[in-house]
Amino acid sequence: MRARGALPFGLALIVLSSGGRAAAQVPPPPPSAAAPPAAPPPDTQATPAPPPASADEPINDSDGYTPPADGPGAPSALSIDGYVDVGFAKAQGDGTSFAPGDQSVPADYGVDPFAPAVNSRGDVASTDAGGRFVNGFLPRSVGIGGRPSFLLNTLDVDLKYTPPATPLMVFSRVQFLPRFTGAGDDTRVYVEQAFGRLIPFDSQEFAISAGKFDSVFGIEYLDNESNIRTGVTPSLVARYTTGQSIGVKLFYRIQIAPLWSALSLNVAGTNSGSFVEALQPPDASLSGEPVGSGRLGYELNTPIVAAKLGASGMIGPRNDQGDQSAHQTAFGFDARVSGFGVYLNAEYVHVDEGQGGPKTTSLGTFPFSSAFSMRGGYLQVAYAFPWAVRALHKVTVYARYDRRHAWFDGFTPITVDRLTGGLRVDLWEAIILKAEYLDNRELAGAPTVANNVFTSSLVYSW
Amino acid sequence: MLLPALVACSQEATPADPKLWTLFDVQALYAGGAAATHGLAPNDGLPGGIPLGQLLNGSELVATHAWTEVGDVSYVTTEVWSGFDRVWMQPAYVPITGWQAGVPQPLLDAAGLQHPIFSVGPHSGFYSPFWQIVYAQVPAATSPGALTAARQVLDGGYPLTPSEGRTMPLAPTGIMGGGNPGTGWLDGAPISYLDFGTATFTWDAQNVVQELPLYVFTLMGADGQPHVLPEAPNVLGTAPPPSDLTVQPTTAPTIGGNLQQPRYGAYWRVYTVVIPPFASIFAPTNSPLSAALNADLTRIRGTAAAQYSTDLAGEDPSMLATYVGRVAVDPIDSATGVPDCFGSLGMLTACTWVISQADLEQDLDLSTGGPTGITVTAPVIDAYGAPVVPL
Repeated sequence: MRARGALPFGLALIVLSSGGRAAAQVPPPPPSAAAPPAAPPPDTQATPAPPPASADEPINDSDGYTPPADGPGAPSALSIDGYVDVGFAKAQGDGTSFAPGDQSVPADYGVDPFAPAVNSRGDVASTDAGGRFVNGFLPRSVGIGGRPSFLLNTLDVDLKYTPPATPLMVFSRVQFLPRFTGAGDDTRVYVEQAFGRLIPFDSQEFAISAGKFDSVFGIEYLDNESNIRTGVTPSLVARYTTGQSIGVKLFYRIQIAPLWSALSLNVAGTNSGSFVEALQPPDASLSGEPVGSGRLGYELNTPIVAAKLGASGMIGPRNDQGDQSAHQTAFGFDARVSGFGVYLNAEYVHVDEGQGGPKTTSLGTFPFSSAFSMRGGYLQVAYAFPWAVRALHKVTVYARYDRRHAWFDGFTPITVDRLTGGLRVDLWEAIILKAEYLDNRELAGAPTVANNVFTSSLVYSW
Repeated sequence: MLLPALVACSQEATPADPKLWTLFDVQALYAGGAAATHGLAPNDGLPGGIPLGQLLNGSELVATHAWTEVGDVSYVTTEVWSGFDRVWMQPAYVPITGWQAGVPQPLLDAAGLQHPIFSVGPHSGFYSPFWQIVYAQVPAATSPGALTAARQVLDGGYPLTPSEGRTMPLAPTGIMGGGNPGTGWLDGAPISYLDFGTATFTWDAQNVVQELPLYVFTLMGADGQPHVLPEAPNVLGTAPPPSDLTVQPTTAPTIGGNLQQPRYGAYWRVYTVVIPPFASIFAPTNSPLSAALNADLTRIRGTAAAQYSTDLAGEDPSMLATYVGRVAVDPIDSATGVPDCFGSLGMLTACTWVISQADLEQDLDLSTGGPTGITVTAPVIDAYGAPVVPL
């Protein structure tokens, strides 16, 4: 059996009450044996991971290795979880950030094409540049333009297998993404994650993962999935920090019980670092050299307030081209503080990319990869009302402010910001209803364009 | 273990990184100590690349001699692209106060000058000296310096009228030697440019500038490598190859209609043409240029210099100048090493010269050379002995 540390009982309570789903920004409903949390295996970095105070408590949701009991009645080694995300969205204008009358090319260099997001994947209402040349700085699109439309954002199926009596967990997440764009059916079946994780020492919080897994940069990747994210859409800097990639990851955490604290280190060597797949393909290394990334985290879990602070970095060749000397570097700082029903998340990200060769992303090939820089971040505040009445498990209001300053070499730097406000309602444990409004503003450089978005999401989990 | 597998190892060859050199870059290279012989894009198909000295000599643009279907011309080179398969036209906004009889009335400053607002700077790989003029109709009371950035124009909601394309390389202040100098705006800051006028390029529906071939002769040396003859004129083509031109045009090639002057394209892709053993380059030794060419020929070939008729030695070099560097495909006299038509000034007109794209396609095997990865901005500044005035 894995040794279970003797952390203060208060610490365990705080963790259980503030992180029922390890990656959620707001507390989920209390655990239930009948309806176990459907959250995917969260990243170990994200979780405080104190063990349960007693064997009768539900196993912690740190996703750290917990050997199953043997014999009849033992939990199944195989679990199948998932969710369905049904959306409804309406964007202003034509659903893009491209300004009418602007003929400069590439069209995606002088605006922020990621601004009119409609779902948790960061897909936008449209990327139709009207025939103007674009150079691969584009998100995925749901192809609805400025028309209101229902969407099936994601059908997610998670398989988790824990071989009995082994310190190994195997996980896969396959997503079905029905899309219809102006070019016709664009539905994809996407393997978002597939990895094995080994915890070689019972006495240590040390894990080795290999395969395709979540980013280790910052904190927003913890909210990638719509059944976990507080709101609907990702921030304006999520494209740089929340991408999955293939490689090897090491995680280590040490608890400092007398200080109610823990330190963690999460490092990875992957094909593409933490950029989303629309910007850098994660499924093959184009440069032949891995991208290193990591995060050093500190956690404070007092009976009243929980705080998590982190510093992240990434360095390596940009994986949208083949030149090993075309480097990308990024660093960032993040903070999460929770207490009294208030949840505050903040993150700052700094990205620089050198000029490289011909560009290849998951969306296609493009003439070349321009040097690029970005500084940005966000601040999100959420408040969960202490209500739980029958089916109504929780009501959360939230607001987020994003700001992004970015420039391609030789192009006018652009500054945009976004104010997002929304409401989330949790019904039972299996339904989440979210609605939000995105007020996108072009502050400098980019032409002003009508690209605000109303979007909503109905998430069923199992 | 998996970790060792993460260590970088050899990789397959990848396409050359696209690269653009502007006049700003050339000036910076000179400032950093580069010599005029320093080649830009030396590994992109043209032996030695494009030497800096072909673009700038101090603050002067350098004229290069070339032949066309009609006659000899000179051009200057202001940008060099390597590894770009296409170049786009970008918008330049020109504020106007209205139209009179279909003619835009530009917003002029106190000196009577207009100042276009450029949308992309010279440090971007997507910078282009090929601009589409987009007239922005502003209120008559607008101050000439009120609009200095593309964002202001677009945010202003002014009626926009896309118009002609103009070749206007952005350039360091003080560059001379071609084009009309002017000052425009880029992101709120003034920037200098050289205006080579309209009717200098065409573009497609996606604003891709259409390229034309610029043929550079190369000579196989004794070392088995092709060499460029810097003294030999190039040939400006008139159509994307193979053009299947069989008849030389009798009029000057033009872009646009009803133009009073010859208008040549300004965007060219460099092609190499290997001079075959049966062809000859006219290089008598009675002028410094031709002597240098003759010396280069001798050096590259590693053989004795050809024997030119003594009649030519007595000719006025200026009378021969128009022929120097031309390639002829007439049979070579084994005794002299040159064709018989090289024997006197009068006979030169009877040579079968290769001085046009039609000649090249008809008389030489172009498969011995071919397109390089290099394209250039090279507006023609003189044609048939007269300056080409920007329109």
